[in-house]
Amino acid sequence: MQPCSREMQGGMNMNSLLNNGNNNNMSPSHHHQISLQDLHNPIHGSHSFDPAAGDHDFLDQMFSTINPSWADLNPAADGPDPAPDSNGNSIGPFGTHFDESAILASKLRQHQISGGGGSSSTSAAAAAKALLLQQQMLMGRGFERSPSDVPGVDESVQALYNGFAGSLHGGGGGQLLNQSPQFHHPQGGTPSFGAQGQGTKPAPAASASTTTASGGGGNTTNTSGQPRQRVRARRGQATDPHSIAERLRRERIAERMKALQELVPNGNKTDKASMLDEIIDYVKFLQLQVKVLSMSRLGGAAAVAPLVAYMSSEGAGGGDCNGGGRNGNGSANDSLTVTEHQVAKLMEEDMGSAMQYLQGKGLCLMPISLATAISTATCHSSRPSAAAHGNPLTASNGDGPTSPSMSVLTVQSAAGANGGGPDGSSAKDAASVSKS
Amino acid sequence: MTASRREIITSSSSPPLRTRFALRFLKNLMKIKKSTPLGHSSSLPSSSSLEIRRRTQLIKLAAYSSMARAVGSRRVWSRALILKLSAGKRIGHRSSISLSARSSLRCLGMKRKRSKTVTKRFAAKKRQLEGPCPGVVELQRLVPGGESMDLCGLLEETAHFVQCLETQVRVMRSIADQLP
Repeated sequence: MQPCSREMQGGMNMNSLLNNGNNNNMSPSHHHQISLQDLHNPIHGSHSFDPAAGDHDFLDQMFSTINPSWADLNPAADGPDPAPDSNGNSIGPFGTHFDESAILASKLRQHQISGGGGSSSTSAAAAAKALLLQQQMLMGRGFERSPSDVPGVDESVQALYNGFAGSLHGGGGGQLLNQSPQFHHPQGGTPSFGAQGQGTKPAPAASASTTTASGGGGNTTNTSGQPRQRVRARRGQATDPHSIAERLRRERIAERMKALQELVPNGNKTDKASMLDEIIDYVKFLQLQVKVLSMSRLGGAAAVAPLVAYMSSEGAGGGDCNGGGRNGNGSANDSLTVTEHQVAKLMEEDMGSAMQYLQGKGLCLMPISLATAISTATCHSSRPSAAAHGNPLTASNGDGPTSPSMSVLTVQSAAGANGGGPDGSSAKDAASVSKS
Repeated sequence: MTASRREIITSSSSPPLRTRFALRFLKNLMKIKKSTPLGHSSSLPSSSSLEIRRRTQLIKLAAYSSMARAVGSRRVWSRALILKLSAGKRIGHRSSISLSARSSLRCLGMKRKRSKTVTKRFAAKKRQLEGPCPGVVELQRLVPGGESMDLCGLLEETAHFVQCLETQVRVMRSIADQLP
């Protein structure tokens, strides 16, 4: 209970100081201070913080710094609306603590205020602006002190401060009451309530105040040097340069992924990992195409054997692979049938793996209509056997009579009975790669 | 006035990538066709798969090297690819790169190594911290020179690499169509 009592003392001191320093409405300030204390105590009851002698001294130090500046601040704080003013004043010392997150919390508040005075009245906004100026001055002054003082107080203080600041925007104590249950809520049982308090803060604060104008893409950060508690800053409120750099990096990666999405076919994946997989597959596929194309450069008829040999040797489920020549053709035929069965089996389980298998072999699927069109086209060419497909579900391995490389493949398929490639289905147009 | 003139100059300075690649690739192809004995291509049964594979490999390397050199040293992957190819050729393969090109590559290589070590150290540290997903490792292996890049640069390189591969495939296919 010792810490609690110290906190009580601190609260009391603050209250007395505030009462002294604040010549304006005492009653509303009392109200708020009392409720502040109410919140303060249960918070500290469930919260273990530094029992070192820092608490009391810290607050005393704060007050000593506050006092000289109080005179400057008071005239500024005097506004047409005294209630939030005193409220603000009572918040003052509570809000000061030397975390970066606190500074940025105030900056956020300022942003909120300056970004749009929509929800709050202009007078309240002006008062809140003044309040924030006070905050910053106080914090700037107090920053020389060691930041490690009273980590325990900071959390609750910050929570309260934020809650009050939020209530400022909402205009009055009604907001405060709305928010106090939320204070109590995160307290239940968890030692890191401070983090939660911060976490729940954005919701009421943002809703109560105007839309946060602070630079987008917010991240959470940790307090600078405190091992025990970590205060998560609100979104849109990057504190360290580290998090800013992180955010920049993430944005850059996102835009590059988007650019790649347009390049790669089937780039409609939203997931980063699956998009990466697609990219990898596409790069492999392009490299395979280059390989096959370089093969077809060897010249017209001579390329038959090597291509056949290549297919039978490189293919996964092929038959016995031999060298070139007729053996190659024969085995190619067998491998084609085997390939056909393999692909049919794969297609039952998973279309993607079937596609990949085909791509690995350098074959393609195409719609039946296209296949029949091509087969009718090729049947007019000098290779009649290639066209005599009794099986409509054949994938054509060549597109047209024009390219010699493709003619190679039709020769090959012609040499190997009537079996074309593996069975084709109409679905996967995008995956169709002509083996040329 | 001067601005417009500058624009005109810059727009007409470099032909598109595919043209540059096509020119270089055709040149290399001619060289390969000249260097290999003609008897090999005409006779079917005597052509061993090994020879054919070797020739295929040569053509493939020629394609990649001409593409890399068409891109030049503007990209990390092109530089890495040039280095890799030149190193490989220096070791065993029959090289078709001219001496001047090789010397210029050596200069590029020095610069590349220096930056590579620095970026590699940084990337390695980062990798230790974060642990990339397996896809990133795979992509690094696929894209030349990708080991020393973090994900951000890697994605950019991949985009350009994919573009170049696509042009390469298109040009090669059109060349193959034209050939008898």
